[in-house]
Amino acid sequence: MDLLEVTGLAKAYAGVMCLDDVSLRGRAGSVHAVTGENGAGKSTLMKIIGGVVRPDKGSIRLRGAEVHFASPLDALRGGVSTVFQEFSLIENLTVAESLFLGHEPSTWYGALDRGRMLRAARRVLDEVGLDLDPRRFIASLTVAEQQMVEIARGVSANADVFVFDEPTAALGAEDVVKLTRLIRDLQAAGRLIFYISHRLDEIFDLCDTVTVLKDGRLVDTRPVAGLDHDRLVAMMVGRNLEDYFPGAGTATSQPALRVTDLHRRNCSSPVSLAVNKGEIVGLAGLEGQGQREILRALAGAEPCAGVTMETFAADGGVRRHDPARGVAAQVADGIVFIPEDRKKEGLYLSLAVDENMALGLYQQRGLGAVARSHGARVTEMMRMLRIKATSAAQPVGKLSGGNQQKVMLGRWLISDARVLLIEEPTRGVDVGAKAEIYAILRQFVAQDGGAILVMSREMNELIGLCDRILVIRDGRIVAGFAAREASEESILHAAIADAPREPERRAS
Amino acid sequence: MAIVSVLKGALRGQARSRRGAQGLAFLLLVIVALFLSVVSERFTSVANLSNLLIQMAPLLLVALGQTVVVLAGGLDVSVGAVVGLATAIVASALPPEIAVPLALLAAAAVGAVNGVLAGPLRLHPIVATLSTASIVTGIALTLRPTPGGNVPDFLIASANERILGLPLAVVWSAGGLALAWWILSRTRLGLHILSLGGSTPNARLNGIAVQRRLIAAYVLCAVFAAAGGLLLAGRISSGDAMAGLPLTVSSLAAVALGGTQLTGGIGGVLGTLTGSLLLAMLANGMNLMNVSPFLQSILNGVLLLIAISFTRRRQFGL
Repeated sequence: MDLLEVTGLAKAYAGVMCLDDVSLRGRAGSVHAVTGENGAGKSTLMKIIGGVVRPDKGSIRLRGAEVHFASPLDALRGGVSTVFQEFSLIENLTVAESLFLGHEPSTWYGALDRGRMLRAARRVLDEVGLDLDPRRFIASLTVAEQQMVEIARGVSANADVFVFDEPTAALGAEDVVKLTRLIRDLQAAGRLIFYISHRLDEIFDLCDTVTVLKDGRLVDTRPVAGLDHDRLVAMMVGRNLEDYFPGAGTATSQPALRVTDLHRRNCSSPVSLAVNKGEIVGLAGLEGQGQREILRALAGAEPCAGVTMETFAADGGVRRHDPARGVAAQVADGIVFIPEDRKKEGLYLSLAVDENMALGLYQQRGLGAVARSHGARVTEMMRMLRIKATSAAQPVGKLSGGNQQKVMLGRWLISDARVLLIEEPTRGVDVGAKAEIYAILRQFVAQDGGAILVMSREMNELIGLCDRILVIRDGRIVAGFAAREASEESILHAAIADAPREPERRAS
Repeated sequence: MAIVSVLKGALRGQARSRRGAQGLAFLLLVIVALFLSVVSERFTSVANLSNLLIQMAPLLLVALGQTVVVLAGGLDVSVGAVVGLATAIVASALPPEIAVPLALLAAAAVGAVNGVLAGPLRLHPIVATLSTASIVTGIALTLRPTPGGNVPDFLIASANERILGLPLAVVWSAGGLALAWWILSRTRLGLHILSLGGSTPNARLNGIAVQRRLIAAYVLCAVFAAAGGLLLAGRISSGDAMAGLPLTVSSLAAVALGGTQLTGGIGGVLGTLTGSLLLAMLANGMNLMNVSPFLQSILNGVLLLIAISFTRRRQFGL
């Protein structure tokens, strides 16, 4: 019989469907992988099972009885223990206190039994093979030790169902071995383990069943034995990319932006690049190779030790810009920046769509300038971008991620910007809105010669969206491709070419 | 050189505990005590020292309550008003066996309101408790528009008399200190309060009833404040709605001087004892040295700035 059965779960955040009609069954004694791309809904699904998030629809049955968990502690009492991806530990508590927080041993008169807590903590740590003084404070532990404490906490609760949310992300090889052994023990004891991961090796090594999610929907649940890498990847990727990219080919040969010898602080190698009118150029690379810093330096958002930056007007006139003067000066020159974290760095969440957008109109005017009526232009822009809001007066914070990003774009489109510098254009945006945003960006460059420099971690996004892709490694441009000739493999190859290969993590 | 190494030791000790800058506070206390005993002969006399402890008692009780709330990540600026309310109730015409429990109950009610405002209703703690402070002072003034009334004899005795040479106020202080210490370090509630101050979202993930624990912290704080009020009423032998107001700021000062981080989670009651002693000692010493009250106020501010600048925000240990 199935230990846990989930039927028809649905969950939406601010209008974006994160999870849509997902069903799942887990057997006792099974290690069940849940996988999918970023934003596929794996974490949301597991948070619902773990009692962190309540579903909009659907039901969870544990041992055949329907359960409604109000909190993680509630779930723990019901027999579901979650090891969170983001640590739920509290820095000013000791290891022992952390292990039993919420269900502390108490004396007959209700006080905290510290002696018993310490002994129990030693036993639990011993069980998971963690050599740690339980009196140490969480803040003094390494990240891997914290992760192991987090796992020990779940084990100590003696649950039937364990949820591990990307548990190896912070662990070194030795701890991964410990964790594997622990999971095997739990499996042998007849527990059900959900293992969220997008590392294929781990899924094949550790799990017997795999459930694949894609854009919040269930793709399939299958035994791992009948799958190989390629077929699993095909399940994860699913849809063809061409379906929602607008197509390239509007690039001209006239330059729009030319950057010569960008020197960044603490970085020896200068960077030069050019973007033509009508062109979208992507910056690709592994995490933290400097692509983000380059974009931000050009935007004036990060210090820049010197650069020759020129833009070319329609009549061929050249203007020079100095990013060192800061973001405001760059914006005044029509070079605008759309940051990745639009909620913290881009938008004013409590202000209306109208005000957020109109900001673009006033950026180049003096502080004392009298506000002109902008209602008509904003309404027109909202219609053009197909922003779904109740009215122009709705606070931006109430909109979905996709619509927020469109407001961000609208702010600068309304300001007649010439060059857009964009970080992660579709982060936290659902599929439908992604396609619309791609179309808007393409339309921007197609019309009277705009230029876009974009950075994204999603390589297939760069391939689909851009005309040209520059690969950054170690702060330098190491390769350039025409996007239609690039593939994820070729980009990845260039991005890691000379890097020393990571040694095999597990021998067997 | 020796001082530097002691200082370093005090700092290093913090990284391995959640006591906050208590070592530093204690060091400061010793320095001030040594200085005062050198410059003033009268300072070290038994009479003066016991006087100092009696003067400190109400502040200590209020500051202990404040410590609980601060450790939970909150802040209570209504404690002074609650002290005033307690003195007003206890100096009313009611018999003491009713008036005293009533004062404590009324304080608990104020604390519960504070907790609900700052917790479930998500008001900023300063805004929430500032509002209740004003309301509570209003109520206390209605009960007792001008200072006066009859304070029960046992409270007056508590504040002034001695048993075997030990001032009764010191017994109150020690009892309050022990109780606050026990709650914070030997009960589940105490552990939950510390976890709230460490990280409220994570405490929630761990299944702590975050709102209820926060309310409990505010209730405890108000009850401690009321106890301070009872003692104060005994000392001034009257009910006075305004008498407690300066204690709001000095209780926060005592907590901060005691090395407790105002952002919560780090610190403890022993630090608060140190901080309260330090404040009482400074007031006492400067009075002995005939320092003008205006200058005293300035010096107190400077001292507070120095002490707080040693505890950086949002960092474990120091």
